[in-house]
Amino acid sequence: MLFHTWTFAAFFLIVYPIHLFVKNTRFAKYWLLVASCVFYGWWRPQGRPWTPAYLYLMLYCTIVDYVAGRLMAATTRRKMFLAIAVVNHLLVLGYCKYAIFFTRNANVLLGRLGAPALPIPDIILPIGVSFYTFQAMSYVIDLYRGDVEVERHPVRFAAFVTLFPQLVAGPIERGAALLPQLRRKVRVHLQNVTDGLSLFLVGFFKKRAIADFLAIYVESVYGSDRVASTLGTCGSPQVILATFAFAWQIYFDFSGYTDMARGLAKMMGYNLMVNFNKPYLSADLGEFWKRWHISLSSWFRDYVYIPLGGNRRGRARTWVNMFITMVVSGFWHGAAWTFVIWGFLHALGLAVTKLLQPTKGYRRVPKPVKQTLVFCFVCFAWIFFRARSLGDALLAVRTAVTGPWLAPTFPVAALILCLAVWLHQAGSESRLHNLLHWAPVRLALATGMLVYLVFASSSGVQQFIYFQF
Amino acid sequence: MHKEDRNRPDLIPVRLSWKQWLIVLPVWLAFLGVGPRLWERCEMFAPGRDYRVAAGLRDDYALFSRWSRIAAREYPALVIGDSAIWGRYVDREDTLPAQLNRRLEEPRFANFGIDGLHNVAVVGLLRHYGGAIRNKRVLLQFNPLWMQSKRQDLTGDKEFPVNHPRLLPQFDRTLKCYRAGVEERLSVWAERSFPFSSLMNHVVLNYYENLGLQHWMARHPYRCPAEVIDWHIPTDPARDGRADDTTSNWEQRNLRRQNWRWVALEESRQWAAFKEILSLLESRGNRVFVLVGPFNPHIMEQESLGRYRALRAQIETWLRANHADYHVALDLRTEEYGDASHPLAPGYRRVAQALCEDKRFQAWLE
Repeated sequence: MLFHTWTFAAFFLIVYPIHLFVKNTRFAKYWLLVASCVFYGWWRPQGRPWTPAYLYLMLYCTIVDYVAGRLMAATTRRKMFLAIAVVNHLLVLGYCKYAIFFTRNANVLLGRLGAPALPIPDIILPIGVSFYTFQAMSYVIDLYRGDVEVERHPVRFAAFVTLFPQLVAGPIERGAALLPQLRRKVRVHLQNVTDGLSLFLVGFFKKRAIADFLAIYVESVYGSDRVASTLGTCGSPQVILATFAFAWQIYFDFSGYTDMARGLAKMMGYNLMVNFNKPYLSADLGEFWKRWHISLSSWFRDYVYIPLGGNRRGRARTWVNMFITMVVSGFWHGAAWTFVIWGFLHALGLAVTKLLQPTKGYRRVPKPVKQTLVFCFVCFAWIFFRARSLGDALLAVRTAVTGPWLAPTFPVAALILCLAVWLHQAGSESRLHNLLHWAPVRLALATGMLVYLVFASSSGVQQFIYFQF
Repeated sequence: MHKEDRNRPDLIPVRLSWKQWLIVLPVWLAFLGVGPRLWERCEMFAPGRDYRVAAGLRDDYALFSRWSRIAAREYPALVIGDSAIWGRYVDREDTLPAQLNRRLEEPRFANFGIDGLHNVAVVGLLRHYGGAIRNKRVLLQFNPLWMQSKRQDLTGDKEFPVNHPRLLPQFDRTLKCYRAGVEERLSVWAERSFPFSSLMNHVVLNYYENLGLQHWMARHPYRCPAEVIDWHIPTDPARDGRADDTTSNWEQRNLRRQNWRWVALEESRQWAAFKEILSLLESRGNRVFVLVGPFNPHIMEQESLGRYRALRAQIETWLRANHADYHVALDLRTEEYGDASHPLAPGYRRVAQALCEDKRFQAWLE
C-alpha cells in the first residue's frame, strides 16, 4: 500500500480512529499488528497473483527473532541464539534478494569452465525485506550487547518489527527507541496531530509534486521497465541533467516517504527517527552520510564498521573497514555490480576526504565550493545507482563526457521546483531561518503545496524507489 | 541522531500549529469547492445548434454535466444514446437529433450521444453527472448491439477493456469482466464525489493532450502550462472527430456478416441497466420515449437475425406491458448502414421521418 493513494487514505481512516480508541488498552498492540499485516499483505507483485507467502515470511522472521530473544534472555548460550537469528536473516535476505544475482554470476563462471548453467530461480523480492530484516537484526544484536531490554510480549514484538508507517522503507528503528514507546502509555496531543499532518504534507509534496515529476525525465534518459533507455542517442547535457534530476528524485522520493512515515507515526503517538537532514548541503562526504538515510548509515556504523574495528586499529585498517562497510552498504541496496561500484565510489570519496581534511589547502576552500563538489561527486556516483546495468552506467559516463551537445529539453517547471526547495533548505540553515519560520511564510507554503498537489495529482501514481530494495 | 532530535521543530520543514491548520484547510477546501464554479464562469462554452460533444472528449464527464445543465435550460427534449445518436459517419447537421430539429423546424432536441456509451455506463453517467436532466422530455435510445454477446453485455467472466470504465458501478462484484484494482475504483469514487477531481480530468482532456499536467510539462519543457489554457471549450464542427469516410456503406467497408448469439433478455445486464435508466429518468420527472435501434439486419446471418427479431419482439412486449412510449426504428436499406448500428446520412433522414410520423412520438412531443 502506498501512502499517497486513496487505498491508504481509506485504510488509515479506519485504522486511526480505532487506534486512538484502543491506544492505551491491551488491544492496542493487537490492533497495530493487524493493521500492519493488512498494510503489508495488501502488496501484490506486479503481474502476479496475490499470495500470503510474503506476509508469512515477515511473520516467520519476527517469530525467529522473538524466540531467539527470549532464549538469549533465559539461557547462557546467548552467542548461539544470536548467531541463529542473524544467520536466519542473512539467509532470508540472501535467498530473496541475492539468489538470482549469485546464480547469474555463477553461470558466467560455469560457462567459461564449459559446465552447464544453473537454472535461474523464479523469485520476487518481497517488499521491504531489507528493512524489516535489518530492524529485527538490530534488536537481537542490541539484546546480545545489553543495549535493549528483552521484549516478552510476542504481539508487542511483532508490532515493533511490522509497525506499518516504517515497515517497507524505514526508517530502520532500533529496539531501544521504539519498543519503550510501544510499552508506555501513548499520548496523542493536538500537536502530535498537527505536526504529523505537517510532516505528511511535506512528504506528500516531495513525492507527488517533485519526485514523480523528475522521474518522467530521468526515465526518458535512463529507461525503466516501461520506457526504453535513450542513453545511446541523447546528448551530453541530457545525461548530465538526468543525473542531477535523479539525485533530486531519489532524495525527494525517499525523504518524502520518510516524512510521511514520521508524520503518520507522530499522529499515532510514536516518534520515528529523522532519516534525512538536507544531505545535499553537506560540505564533505562524511557529513553526507550523517545526513543521508541516517537510520541505515548508523546501522552499518554500529553493526558493521565498529565491530570490524572502526578507526581504532590504525589508518590502513580504518580504510579497509570503511571500504568493506560502504561496499556492503552498496550491495544492500541491490543485487547488482552497479550498486557494489556505487558503494566503492563512496568509500573512495570518503578516503580521499579523510586524506585531504587535515591539509591547509582543504580548510581554505570556501564552504559553498565544498558543497558543490560533494553534490557533484554524489551525482556522479548516482549514475551507477540508477543505471539499469553496468554497460548503461559506463555508457552514461561516456555520453556525459564525450556526447554531442544537444538541447536537454528539461522541464523548466521541474527546475524551478528543485531550485525553490534547495533555496528553502539553504535558507533554513542560514540567517534566513527566522524568516522561513515566520507564520505567514509557512501558511503560504502550506497552501501553495496543497494547491499544487491538486494539479500534480492529474499524473499517475508512482511507486517509491526504495520499495525495490 | 540523538533521541531529542526526533522532536526538533526545524526538522519539520513547514510546521503548522492547529490554529494555522484551521486557516490553511478551509482556504484549500474553499479553493476545491469554489474552483470548479469559478472555472466554469471563466471558460467559454457556447454550444451552437446541433452541438455534440467532440469524440475526443467522450470521457470528459464534467463537460457532459455542464452541457446537460445548458441543454436542460435551452432545449425541451434531449436525446441520450451512444454513437448511433452521436452520428459516427455523419456531420453534426445530419445526426438524428439534428434531423428531428430540421423536420420540426425548430431546435427542440439536444444531442447527448456519446461514443461507446452502453446502458450500464448511461446509468453511471446520469446518476453522477446528469442531475440537471429533470422534468424534460428524453428520447432514450436502446441499442441492441450491447446485447449481441456476453462480452458486450458485460455478463462474461473474461476481463476486457470495457468502454467508459469510470461510469461503471465500482463495487459490484457481479461485474466480473471489469477487474480494476481497489486504487482505481477508489479514484473513480473520488472523481465522482469531488467536483475538482472531474474538473482536473476536464482540463487534462481539453488542454493537456490527455496527459497529466506533469507529463505534459515534460513533453513541452519550455512552455508555460497556463499559456495553453484559452478558456474555451471547442464547439467547432470541424473538431467533432467524426469518421473520415461518410459515404461508404458497411459492405463497402468490407465488414463481414456476423453470427451473433445474443444474450437472453432476462439474463442481460445491459437490459437490466436500461430498465434502471428508465426508472431513474422517470423518478426525476422526465417523460421518456424509447427508440429501439436503429440496427442493421443485413449484417447478420439468418440464424442470428432470427434470434435478433425474437429479442426485439420481447423488448417491444416489455415496453408495451410497462406502458412506455416507444418506437422501433425501421429496417433501413442495406446501403443506408455504415456498420452494424450506425446509419449513414440518408438512413438518419428516414429514421427521423418515420419517428416524426409515429403518432405516439407526436403525442409524446406535445
